[in-house]
Amino acid sequence: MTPQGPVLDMARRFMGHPADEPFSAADKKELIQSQFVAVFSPGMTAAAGPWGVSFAANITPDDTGIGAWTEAQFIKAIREGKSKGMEGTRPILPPMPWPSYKNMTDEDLKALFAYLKTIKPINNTVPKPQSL
Amino acid sequence: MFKNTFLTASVLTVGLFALTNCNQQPAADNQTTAEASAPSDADIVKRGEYLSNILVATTATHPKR
Ligand code: HEM
Repeated sequence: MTPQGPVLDMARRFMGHPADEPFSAADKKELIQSQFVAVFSPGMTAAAGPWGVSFAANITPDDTGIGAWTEAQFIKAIREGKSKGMEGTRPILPPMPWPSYKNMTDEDLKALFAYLKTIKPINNTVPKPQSL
Repeated sequence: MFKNTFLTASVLTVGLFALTNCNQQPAADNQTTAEASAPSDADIVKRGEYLSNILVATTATHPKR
């Protein structure tokens, strides 16, 4: 955190919510359930809202990220908001903006996936979504 | 207010659509040239980097310092 607010940490790019960064909105449960408020961690990688608590995914090519994913899985995840891009999985939660990203062309989604496969793999097991 | 925003958005959408379509005409005429220069793997990765840098916005996916 800087006086200007959070600054992107390019060395840890795309590793998702850091596993060692605690986040809790338990004391704001009532406020959040009132549906007037959602709460972000200062780094904005964790968020609590009416959907529960979600953590930005690790999308580096590590085994804890999308290392074992196929291109088809990536496209399905973004197009259909299906976790892991597989049939029968849970929906991808907010604030992941897949309802907008799904409008990308196949070409662009494939380019994104190709690029993500070239970046440094980072071992980071992101917490599972939680209820409020 | 809502009505104005909606109208502006509609006009912009139609405008953009028209623009995009205009721009596509010459490309269609040049199809053979486009086919001849299919993007290389390096070009594709570069495009992916460009997109990711925009899409990641100021929010999640990149931890902050
Ligand atoms: C380069 C842009 C981005 C790409 C390629 C991307 C890709 C993905 C993918 C593939 C997943 C699913 C992971 C899984 O199923 O295990 C995911 C999850 C997630 N993304 Fe993104 N994302 C991007 C940007 C963002 C942004 C801008 C936000 C927030 C504003 C965000 C927030 C999240 C969150 C919270 C999750 C976890 C959702 C859940 O657990 O259900 N992502 N992202």
